[in-house]
Parts: sequence; structure tokens; C-alpha cells
Amino acid sequence: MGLAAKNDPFHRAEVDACRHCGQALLTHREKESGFCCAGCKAVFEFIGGLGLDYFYCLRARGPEWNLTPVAKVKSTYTYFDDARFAEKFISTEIGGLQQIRFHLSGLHCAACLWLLEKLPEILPGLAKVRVDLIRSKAQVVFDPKMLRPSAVGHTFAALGYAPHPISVDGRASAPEKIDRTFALQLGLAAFSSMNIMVLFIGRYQGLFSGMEERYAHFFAWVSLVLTIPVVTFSALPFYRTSWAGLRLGRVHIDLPIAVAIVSGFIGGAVNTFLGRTEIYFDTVTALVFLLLVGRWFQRRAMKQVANASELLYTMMPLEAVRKGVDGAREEIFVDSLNPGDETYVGHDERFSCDGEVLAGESYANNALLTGESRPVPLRPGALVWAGTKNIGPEITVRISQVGESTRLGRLMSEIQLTPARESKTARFTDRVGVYFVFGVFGLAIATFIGWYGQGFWVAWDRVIALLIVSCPCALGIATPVTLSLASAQAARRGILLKSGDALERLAAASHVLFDKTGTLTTGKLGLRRAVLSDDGSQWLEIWGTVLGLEEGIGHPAAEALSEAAVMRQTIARKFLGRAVVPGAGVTATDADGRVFRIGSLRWLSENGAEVPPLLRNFIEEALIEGFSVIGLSHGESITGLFALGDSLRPEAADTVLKLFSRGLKVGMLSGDMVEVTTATAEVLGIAAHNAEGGLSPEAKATVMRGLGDAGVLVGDGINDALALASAGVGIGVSGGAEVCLKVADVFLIRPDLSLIVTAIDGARRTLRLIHRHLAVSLFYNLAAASLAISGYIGPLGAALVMPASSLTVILSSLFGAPFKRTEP
Amino acid sequence: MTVVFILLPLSLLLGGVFFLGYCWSVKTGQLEDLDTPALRMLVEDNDNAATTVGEKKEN
Repeated sequence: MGLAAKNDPFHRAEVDACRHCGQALLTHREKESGFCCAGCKAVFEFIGGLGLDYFYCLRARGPEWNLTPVAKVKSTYTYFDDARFAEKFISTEIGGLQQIRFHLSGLHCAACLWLLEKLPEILPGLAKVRVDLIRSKAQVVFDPKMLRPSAVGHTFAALGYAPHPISVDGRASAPEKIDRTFALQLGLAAFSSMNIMVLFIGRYQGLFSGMEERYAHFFAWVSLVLTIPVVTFSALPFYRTSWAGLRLGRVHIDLPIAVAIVSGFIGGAVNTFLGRTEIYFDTVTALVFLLLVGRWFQRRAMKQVANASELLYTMMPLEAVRKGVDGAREEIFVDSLNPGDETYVGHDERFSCDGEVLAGESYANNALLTGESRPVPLRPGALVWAGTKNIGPEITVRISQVGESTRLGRLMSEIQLTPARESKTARFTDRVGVYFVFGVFGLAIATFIGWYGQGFWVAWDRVIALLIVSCPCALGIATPVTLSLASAQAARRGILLKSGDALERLAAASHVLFDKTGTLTTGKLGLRRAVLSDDGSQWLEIWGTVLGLEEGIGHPAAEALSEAAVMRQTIARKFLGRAVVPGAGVTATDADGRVFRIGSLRWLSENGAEVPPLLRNFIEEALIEGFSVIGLSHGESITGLFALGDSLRPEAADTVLKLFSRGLKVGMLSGDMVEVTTATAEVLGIAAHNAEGGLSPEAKATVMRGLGDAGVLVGDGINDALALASAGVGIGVSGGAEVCLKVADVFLIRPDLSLIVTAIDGARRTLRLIHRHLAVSLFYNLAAASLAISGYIGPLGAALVMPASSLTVILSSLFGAPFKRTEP
Repeated sequence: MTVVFILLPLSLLLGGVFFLGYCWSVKTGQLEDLDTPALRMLVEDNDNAATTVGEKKEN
């Protein structure tokens, strides 16, 4: 039934899963409507209205998908039309078209790609949409005369992909330019080496079968011409790193490569002039080409450093509602705000700046900034921080700090200042490299002296053969290729790796620490459990009472209960009078004069409603798990108990167990209260002394720094960002703050903790593969070097042996699939 | 066999044209996203789509 409904979105009978997001539907009413929430329904209807229902057929064809329900679009995106916004985010193209780029949340499969790229055919004024699925980015070109930027933003949001604009100076960044130069260097090396290879096949053939000298010379000169650009342009990266190493008084692993390239080229050029047969252009260009291929794989997996302001923009709301001169509401772009301005912050909106509450009472959810899961009350005079969320009714805030001087902004700058660690492998390679370089040069000098008696040219040929044959191909090519292939496989399983060395640290890690709120738990106050005092016949009526009492009160507990009641499709009971008792609950009287109360159990018992002994157990259990319990009373009898709290993700306990079974130490670092942290740890089987609560972002970072490379941190919020950047490996969980994507070494596309186990298993297998390759190529190099010294391999033989060793390790990495298998 | 003196430079010239094409593709950023086009190709052949398929002019 469930499967049939998934495959046929137009199926009108009851369905088990939400037609849009696929989440399981619980109540009869939900099943009848086919949606889990109003947000999903709106998106489904919008997609249908555009005639793009094919999206659902496409999606059913693809792999299993699991989306989070879509929040209802609240913003009008009018701030996209702000002049300052345009300055920062919109660039003008030829022909008066404008371009804007977004990070999109909610992109998951090829069907999304189809849906978004189909838009230009339907929406007049939209010229082009190009989606980069792997990086969750989209490039949008539109005609400003026909379509306002706000309409573009709104369309994306209405389709369920909330757009987060990328600034203009953030895109044409330096790494992109370096990448292009590199692509040209690689392309040139490929072109020259392949052509030279063809020429040399002819030359070698000619050497054996006899070839007129003028042809041999002609071939030599042509290959010399082809080699010049390779040596002067393509090989630049090797000279640069060697030179940079020498200037610091270090011997870089690239040094023997650079020396081999230059000496091979000079030797070949001299021999060409002298008309001798030993020219090494084929070997030199093939060497440059193969090593550049290795570098290319390495580069693909490389991490880009984000700058602080860019981080800030992904974290802070870009939109604010400013109070105008006569109290009017102006939707503006945050950069247009100044300290002293007054803004309105509505329900479920994030604060865009630091400030002070002027009017209104509400609650803030500081989880993102501090990790605290319980709501913080806001009254006039209370301070609010950028990035935190108002979860109560609308309040007025006077701004004190904007942009980078906010608490959030300062935290972001600190993250950027955290020095990039030198990776363990880099250090390993450098250490081995030093011995390697000295070893090779020592051997080369000894070889030259040893063979000098046979004549200068004999000795020269032996040395060149030795230099070429002992090039560290396993370090230069096999390791990056293995790491890059492993990264690609991991990405397909939903694990994004920012750098190859994150894999190496992950394989060697000994501690895995989890943030609590939002990582192990879902991070939202909601109804966890309820007991109703009746036999089930009246439950709809009881929920109707709850809705009638709690609707529109604005307290987070009231919000959670109203939401639960709405989900059950009840109709609110009508009351005559309703009064909020601060710190206690809500009381109301209906038309028949019956008094209903909902609120804290202490308050209910003060009013004569005692909890029956049978239900005490429910309360105790709920409190142990860190939930708060709210009661509903009708006169003097309790008719319902509701446990509210942050719930554990379903796979959390299993993941912790699997990590234990892999010999890892598992702990928790939380900004939440110690009691809540301990209670959660107990449920998961984490020892209480390994679960630390009440930690500030800085304290978390200190703990992670203390663990060094051996520590893995799994986190989601801004409060984890600094610690993620300081940890040996930072793993960002999807659904959390986007800042994680920027600072974490590993990012999970799906909010599924079991991926952590997959990542660690895969990393360990990858490392075993790399070590195997190192052993193989070391053997090759030793064998080939001794043959070269003894003269059994000339430069020609070296040219054959060298690619053979590279090929072996590359093939081995292609067939090793570290992320393909899953272990129990 | 002397024809090789003409043919060799000629073939290199031809190869050079392709190399220039490669340079162009690099300069215009076509190599920046290598993963999405593979998927794009798969979803564009929608035989029973509600809307018509056809590459829209981009300028």
C-alpha cells in the first residue's frame, strides 16, 4: 500500500506517507488528506499548479528518499529587491540579464534538478537555472524587467527549496582561478605527452629496424619543441613547492621530481643538439602528466577556506522588519540596519542582530548559539542575540550590534582564525620525503662516480634512469587517487568529505564525542508522550480542549501542544473566558460553566486536581528522560498528561552501540543543562562521566583541542562550530546550521547518525588500501632503482617501468571500494 | 617518406586546435561541476512528462 502510494502520487485513497515529503502519516485525518503538514501540501499544490507533477514520478524512480517536511513559506523575500542586497548578491550579465546564486536547502536527487531546471520554460522572465547537485548550489539568470529578484526567491521557497544567496565576491574567488590555471597545465601536459609518445613509438621502432638519421633528428626536434611548454608551464607546481621548501630550509618531496624534470630536459636538449639518441622527453612529459593527474585528484577533494563574512551570511537571517517613522513595517535587507533601529521579530523568526527587547513578552530558543534546549523567557529589557530564534509571539527589539560585531559575528571570526592544522599525512610524507630525497640524491652521486670510468655519457644515462625510475609515484599518485575515489564513493552514500586527510584522521580516531541538542536529538520541543484518562472514545474531544486552551498563547509548551492537537485534526473547543497564569498555565471556562486548566502539575494540585497514583509512573519516567510534564484538568480530575521534550533521533542508540563495538570511546559535549545531558547519556548507554553538560562553545573547543587528531566531534549548531573546527575531525549533521558545512571536515547530507559508522568503517578500509599501495610501490622503486644503477634499465626502460608501477597502484585503487560494503 | 616533414606538423596543428578547444572549455568554467551533468542527462528524457521537452535558448 505504502509503495503503491509512493509510485502514484495521484492516488486518491488514503496514503501512509506524505505525498510530498514521504514522512509516515500517523492519524486518520492525515492519511485522508495525504500530507503531514500544511507546508508540504502547499508545495505539492504549487508544483501541481505549474504542471510539474512529473517530479513525483521521477523521484519514485530514483533511490529511496527521505525528506524533512517543508516549513511554510513566511518570508515575502522583498528584501531581495533592496539596493544593498543587489550590490552584494546580484551581478549583471550581457544583455541586461541578472544573475544570482543560491545555496539551496532540501536538494536531494535528480528529480529536484529536473524540477528546478524546468522552471525557465514555465516562468516568464526566468532565463536559466543551473543546479549543482553535489554542492547544493544553483545559478539563476533572470530578466529584471520581467521578474523581480523577490519573485525568484519566493518561487524557489514555494517549491520547498529555501534559497540562501551567495555573495558576488564569494563566487569569483581565488581558488577558482587557481583551478583553471591548473586545468590548463594538466591539459597541456596531456597534449604534449601523448603526442610525444606517438613520436617515440616511431623513434623506438626506428632504433631497432634502422631509420634514416634525418628522420630521427626531426622527431627529436619536434619533441623538444613539444616538451618546452610542459617544462616551463605545466611543471610549475613542482618547482614552486620545491622552492618554497628550500627557502624554509626543508627538503620537499617534490624536489627530486623537479630535479628529474629539469635534468631530464637539459640532458635531452643537449643530446638533441649533439645528435645523440638518448633524449628523455617522453619520460619527462609522461612524468609531469601522471603526477599532475594525481594532483588533480588531490585538489578535487580539497577543502576551501571560507571567510568570516561569508560564514556570517549563511548563519544570520538576511531579512529584517524595521519599524518605520510612523510605526510602519518595512521589510529590508539586514545590511541596511543600524544600531538604534527598532525591528519587529515575529514568531519562529531568527534575530538578525544583537539587541534589547523593547516591547512584548516571548521566549527565545538559543539552541543554535548555546546548545540550550529549554526556552529562555524574554521580557522588555532582556538581551537577544543574532542567530537565535524567537519562538513566542512578536516582539520589538532595539538593535545594539550589527553584522560582524555581534556575538555570533565574533564567534565566526574566531573560527576563521583557528589555524588550519597540518595534516598528519602531510607530515608523514614530509618526514619520509626527506630520507627519500637524500637517499635518491646520494645514490645518484654514487652512481655517477661509479660509472664515470666508463665515460661521462654512460654515467649520465644511468643517473637520469635512476632519477626517473625512483620518482615517488605511490606518494604522488596512488594516495590521492585512493583518497579521491573513496571520497566520491562516500558522497554517493551521503557523506561529504572536505579533505582526504579527514579520512586518515577518521580512521585513526579513538574518541567520538556528540553534541546533544540537534545532533543526538531533533532539537525541537514537541509532544513526546501523552496519557489520556479515558478509554479512547473521547480523545478527539480532549485534544479539542487542549487546542482551545493553548492556541495562540505563544508559550513554547503551548505551541508544542497546539501543534500536536492540530496534527490530530481536531476542532478547538469554544471557551467563554481564557486567562493565562504566568509561570503556571492557562485556565478557561466553557459555556456550561465547567473550568478547565492546563499547565504545571504543581499549579493543578494547588487547584485541587491531584494526579492519580496510576499515572505517577508516567511522570517519573518522563522526568528521568529530561522531559517536562504538563497536565490537563477538568474540574478536579486530571484528564490528560503530556510529556514535552526534545526527542532522541531513532538511530542514535544503535549508532552509539556500533561505535562502542568498534573500540571507540563515546562521549557527549553539550551546552544544555547537566541533568538533561546526564539523562540523555544514560538512555544511550554513555557513561555519565563521559557526558559533559553546560559547556560554552569555547569550552567545547578546548576539550576537542585537548584530544587532538584522535578526537571526532559530531555537532550541528553555531555553538559547535568552533569545536568542529578545532576537532581532529569535525562531523556536521544535516538539518543543523549551515555553518557546519563550512567548518566541518565531514558533512552528512541526511540527518542519519548511522552514517558516522559507515564513514569510520570506510575510512579504515581506505587507509588499509593506501598502506598496501605504499608497500607495493616501495618494492617497485627499490627493485627498479637497483636495476637502473647496475645499468640493466636505461632511460628507455625506465620510461616503461615507471608508468607500470603507477598503473598497478591506480588499478588497485580503482578496484578497492572502501565505502561500498556495509558491516553490521 | 619525406612527406612526414609536412604531415607531422599538420597533425600537431590539428591536435592544437583541439587543445585550444579544451582551453576554451576551461576558461568558460565548463569543468567546474563534473557531477551534475551526468544526472541532468538522465532526467531530461521524460517521455510521459506533462510539459514539452526541448532545450530552451539561453540568451
